[in-house]
Amino acid sequence: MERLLVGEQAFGSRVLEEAIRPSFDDIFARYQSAIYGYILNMVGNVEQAQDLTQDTFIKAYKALPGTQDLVLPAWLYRIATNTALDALRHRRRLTWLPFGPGEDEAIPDSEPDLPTSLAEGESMRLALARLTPPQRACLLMRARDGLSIDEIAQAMSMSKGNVKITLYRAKERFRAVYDDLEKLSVP
Amino acid sequence: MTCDQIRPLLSSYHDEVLSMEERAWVRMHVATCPACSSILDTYEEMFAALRRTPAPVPADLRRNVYNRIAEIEARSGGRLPFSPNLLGALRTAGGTAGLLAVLAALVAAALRLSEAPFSANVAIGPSRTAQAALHLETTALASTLGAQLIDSLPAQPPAVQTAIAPLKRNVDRGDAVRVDGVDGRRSTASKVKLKFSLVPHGLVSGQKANIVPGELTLSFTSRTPRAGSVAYSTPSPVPTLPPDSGLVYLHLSDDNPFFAGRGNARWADLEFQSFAQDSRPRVLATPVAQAQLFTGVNAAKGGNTIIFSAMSQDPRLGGLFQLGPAIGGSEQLLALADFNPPNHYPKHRYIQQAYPTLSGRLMISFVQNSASGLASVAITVSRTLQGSLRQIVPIYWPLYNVAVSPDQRSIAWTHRADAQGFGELQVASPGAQPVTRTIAQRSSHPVWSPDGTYLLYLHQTAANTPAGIWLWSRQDGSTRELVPPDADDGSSITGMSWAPDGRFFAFIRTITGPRGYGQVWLGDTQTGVLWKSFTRRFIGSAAWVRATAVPAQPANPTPTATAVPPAPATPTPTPAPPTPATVAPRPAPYALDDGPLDVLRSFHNALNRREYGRAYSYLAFNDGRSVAMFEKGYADTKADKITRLVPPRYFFNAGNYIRTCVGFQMVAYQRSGVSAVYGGWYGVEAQMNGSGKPINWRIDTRASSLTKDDPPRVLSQAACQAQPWSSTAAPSPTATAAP
Repeated sequence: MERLLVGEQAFGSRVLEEAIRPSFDDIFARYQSAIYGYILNMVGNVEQAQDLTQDTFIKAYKALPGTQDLVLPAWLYRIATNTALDALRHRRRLTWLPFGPGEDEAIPDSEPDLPTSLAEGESMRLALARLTPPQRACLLMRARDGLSIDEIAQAMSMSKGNVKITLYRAKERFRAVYDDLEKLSVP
Repeated sequence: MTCDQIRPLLSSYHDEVLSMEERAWVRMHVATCPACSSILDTYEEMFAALRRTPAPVPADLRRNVYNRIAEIEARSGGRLPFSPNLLGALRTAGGTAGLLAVLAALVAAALRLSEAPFSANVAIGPSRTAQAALHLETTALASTLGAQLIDSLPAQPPAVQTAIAPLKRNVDRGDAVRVDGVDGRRSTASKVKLKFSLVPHGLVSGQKANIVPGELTLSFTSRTPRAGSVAYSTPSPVPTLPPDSGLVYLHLSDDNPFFAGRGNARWADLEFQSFAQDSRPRVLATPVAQAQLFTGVNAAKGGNTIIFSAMSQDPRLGGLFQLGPAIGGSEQLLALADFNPPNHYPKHRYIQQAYPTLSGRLMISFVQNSASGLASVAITVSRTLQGSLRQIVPIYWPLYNVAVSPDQRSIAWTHRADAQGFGELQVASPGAQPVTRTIAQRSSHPVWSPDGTYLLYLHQTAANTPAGIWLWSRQDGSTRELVPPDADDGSSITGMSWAPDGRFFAFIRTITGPRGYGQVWLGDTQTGVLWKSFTRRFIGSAAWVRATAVPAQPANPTPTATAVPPAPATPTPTPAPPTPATVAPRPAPYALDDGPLDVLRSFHNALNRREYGRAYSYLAFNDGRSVAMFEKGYADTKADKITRLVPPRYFFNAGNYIRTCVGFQMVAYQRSGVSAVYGGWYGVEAQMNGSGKPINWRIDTRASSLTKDDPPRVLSQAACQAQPWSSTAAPSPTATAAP
């Protein structure tokens, strides 16, 4: 894509790019919460999520100067997704750690006065745990973080068609579990 | 259509990625099939539940991340702080005595930076002696001055090496003097003789006559200080510039408007600085915060008029503006609304180049990028300065940097540019044989001289190397180098402008990075002499003007608008108490091309995150409140929680817009602990781009209605259509919102 040109002396573009381009501080400030939440829901473990979020931002910090086309947030989610998927793969190799409330730490609730959030969170976490990691990644990016199909495709290094299929399977699987659990949790 | 056929489409329907046709099938089926309809509802609930998952950021995340970054930086060799005394000395140094003082300070600073065991006494000049007991390590000083020590000396400790680079940079940056071509020789075990050149303010390496040779002997022992000496001569003067010259340029602030939380960050101001000694920069115009970007500046009418372009969604703020002493502030020459939000700049349309031609017309080259990523450049001429645009010729990528000569006899551009924008520089002149000539390879950014006979351009002598400035003559087709690439300091040339007389020119060298800055240089195309002028952080587009072109007092910070009346004040039916307002500087809006549900989610997400500027940007255009007033409306709100979103079952096409109504219900939690349910519908609209795809979903508050304790309301298409939509068609200042 052509760079932003500036007037007749158009080659202020490099300066402009520098100015337009978000700094690491900007990216961290803006996305720390989203990325942490995303990774936490991916791995289901608070401590690991903290470590992986740190890893993600360190990787981003190192990669940022060499990145030609910085498309946010897909670029950052790509790093986060790879980091989380790597960790999940590694974890499976080392030991079998189920993704669920029994074995892992509970996710602290920031807004305890909001009704239904805890019960809802439980069933949601159980349902998420039944998805494959790529399904979980796609569904979280789409539903929780509001990324577009295009952005998810970039973040997952998948074709758009593949993302749609993965999302479809994720939603169906999630729905099957979630529906049952919701019936249980509502008195 | 059976359920089996529709089921696989439901997910994509819910993600709003189906084709129009498929969407129609699903919509028809869902309207009559409760089972499929309930699946969609479940999807919606699932998504809402996922969005509600709490994930408070750990308190020490920031600290841990930044600690690790600090470790990484420390390992790769951090930067040492620079001595402020030296900078001060460099800036204030004047004549010969000043030079001596500078040199003394330079030596002193270099020595202070090292932590070596030696001490020495440095005495400078035959007539003056300055004595000081200094800590010294010869290698530190020699390297600081760029010397290669011939004898083998102990290897430099890492701290010394890292100290040298910033010191060298700052020596260059200080303007007053530059140390060049140093040769160091260690004559005895305790003595180093340094030969070097001093380049005073206004001169550059390569100009033999202007270089001042110097010699400095440093003696040192671990105990007893000794003396050294330096010789110098007076530099020759720099060429005389046309009087009252100066540069108008975009000065980019450190603030970046594209991120929330930066408040009313300004982006680039329009500034003027005279080339005269000791002149100070002056702000000529400031963009309207969050709503306007200045994109370029140019000189016109022999340097007596300043023209600048701006990008905005508001036609009063976007387009071309003229600035001059006779005009009270700035005057809009051409209104141009940019229909895409500025944080997605590749989608923009904006003016690339504009200036009055010799015939008095306004020549504009115009870039319009489509949503598909293809861009076109149109060269357009208006009949008068205040006129409409007529496209002469559309040009499609991969042509870059299109520049039309002021006499309209030639067009220059870069063809087949590489990733850095360098390619074949071509010039086309109707009537010439051949019409199109290739001037140079690996070139870019042609700039025509005021009379159209010369072209300045950037040229790389080899691929992927720094570029220098070259000059092409239309008369004999010759090219020659004017400014060599300066590979040393990592700077690159980022701007050029001709003086109105067509002899002198200005260019900007930019060093990027956190401590980067732009250095303005001036040059003489006849003698090839180059000299430094002022520095400023982040200089964008720049134009050489006469001081007579600059308004005596700072212009009205916002360009005066005459073409369009201000937006009417509008009460709104959003659940938070609305505040009527007068003028609303808009924040930079965000692109939202996903769908009508997404804009509502994003809107409420942004509210819950307290990103009011962002939430505000999701509202359709004619909402007249300022962001501050909008925010005030949510002072009591703790959080909104969307409980129901009913996906639209229809869309209706309103010319350039596609519109629908979304059934909506939410719980609003007040800070007081009270919560309330609101229900009703939101009117949501999107623009249709050229290929019939809806883009930029926005909430139209006038076509929305939320009422306390109500369920979501599903409007019929006719009822939705009859809502008081506020945009473009017929905004009535007295219209009120639906109940």
